[in-house]
Amino acid sequence: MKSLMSLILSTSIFASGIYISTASASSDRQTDSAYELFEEAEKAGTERRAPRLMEEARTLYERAEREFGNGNDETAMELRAISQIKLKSAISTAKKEDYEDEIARLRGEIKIANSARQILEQELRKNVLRLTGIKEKNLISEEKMRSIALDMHKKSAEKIKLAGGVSAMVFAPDDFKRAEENYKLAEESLDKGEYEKAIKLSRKAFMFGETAYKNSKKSYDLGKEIIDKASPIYGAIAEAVEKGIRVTLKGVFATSGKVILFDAYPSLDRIGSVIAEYPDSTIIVEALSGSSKSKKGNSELSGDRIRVVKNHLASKGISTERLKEANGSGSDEPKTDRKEDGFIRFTINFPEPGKV
Amino acid sequence: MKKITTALLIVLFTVPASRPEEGGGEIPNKISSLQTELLSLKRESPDIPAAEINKASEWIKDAKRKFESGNAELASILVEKISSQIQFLRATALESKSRDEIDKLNETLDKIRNQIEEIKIVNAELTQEISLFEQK
Repeated sequence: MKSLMSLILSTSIFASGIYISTASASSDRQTDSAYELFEEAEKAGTERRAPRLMEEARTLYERAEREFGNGNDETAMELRAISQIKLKSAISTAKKEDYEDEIARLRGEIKIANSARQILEQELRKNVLRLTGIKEKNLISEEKMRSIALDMHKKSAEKIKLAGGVSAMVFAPDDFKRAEENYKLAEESLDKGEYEKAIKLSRKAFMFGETAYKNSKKSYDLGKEIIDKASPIYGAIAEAVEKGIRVTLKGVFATSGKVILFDAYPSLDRIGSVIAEYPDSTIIVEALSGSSKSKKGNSELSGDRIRVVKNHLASKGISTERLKEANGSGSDEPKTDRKEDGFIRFTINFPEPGKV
Repeated sequence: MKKITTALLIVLFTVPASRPEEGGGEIPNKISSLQTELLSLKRESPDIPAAEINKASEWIKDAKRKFESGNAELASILVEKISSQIQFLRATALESKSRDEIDKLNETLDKIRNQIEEIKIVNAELTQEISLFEQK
């Protein structure tokens, strides 16, 4: 390329009738610089990018050569310098044009990249909304589960309370215990946020509570009924005990006496009537005696009194098979207070659940 | 007659002598105008190397000196040189501006591409999370 430019420039110089050899050393350096600049300009595409400036640079260079020929070295040098400045301007202009092309290309790429980003951002927004929706839905579902679990737990508590109200711990202890156990476990699961498990456990607690309630209700009602009937009887104290009702009748026997006192008959008969109303129940009869100084004496007295009472009740139509003596024989009765001497206790035992 | 001839000769010699004065009047104006233009360029484009500005400033001084020493022709060439230098400096400033613009655009493009990559990563994470939720 340098040789080509040299040829172009030499041709130009010869055309003006001037020999390069006549130029000064400084001029030679300028010529070399001009060659390099023309070469650089060509590489930069100045002929296409800045044709006017190139034309001006060439014209000035030719003028400079003519001035060298005319011996006007100073003018020639200046003209060469201007030519070189023009070349540098052309190169700069060409570069700028290249940069403009690059700018246009980059803007295009930015536009494309922006579009791609927008599409991805839309997708991102969509995904965020979708995820938020799912999370909200899950939260609602979890909240719903929590609500169901709490509700179920509350219902099981109510059921257990209801069962407790009919003495289920006495009449249906196993079911009642299992109901309570499941209720506690459900409570633990609720605390841990394990709502599904809590629901299952609460359901179990409810179910056992329900069974305990059902199995206890009849016995309880029966007991209550007996208490209601026995309580108004003169001298009688009716109270619930495990699996039954205990009715204590005061003053049936005189101290150390083995004969039923006259005044005690009405009450004893009324108790007999109550016992007769519940043929499925068994009765344990106890006679309290504390007048004798010896245990044996008291035991024998109790046994005698029981027999007297049993006989009396039998005379009123109550099967003696239903009437059991306390502790089987009545010989090992508990130590009795002297004040209670002559009391008779009837423990009316309920039949097993389901038979009531 | 002799007087008239002498007067005519004076006029004839005076008129051509006054021409460079008239033509030369443009040169100081041009120099002044270029000086102003150079100052303005210096202000507008602080990125232009001071050495290049100084060259033009020196040439302005040279042009003034040449003109003042009566070398109007060389002064005129120097004016052209200064003008070309200013033109070159303007072209350089524009080139530099375009180059800066390219740097900025490249930076912007890189930024957008990075954002795209980040969005892609976040999107992938979201999609995975969604799919996990949906599997439940």
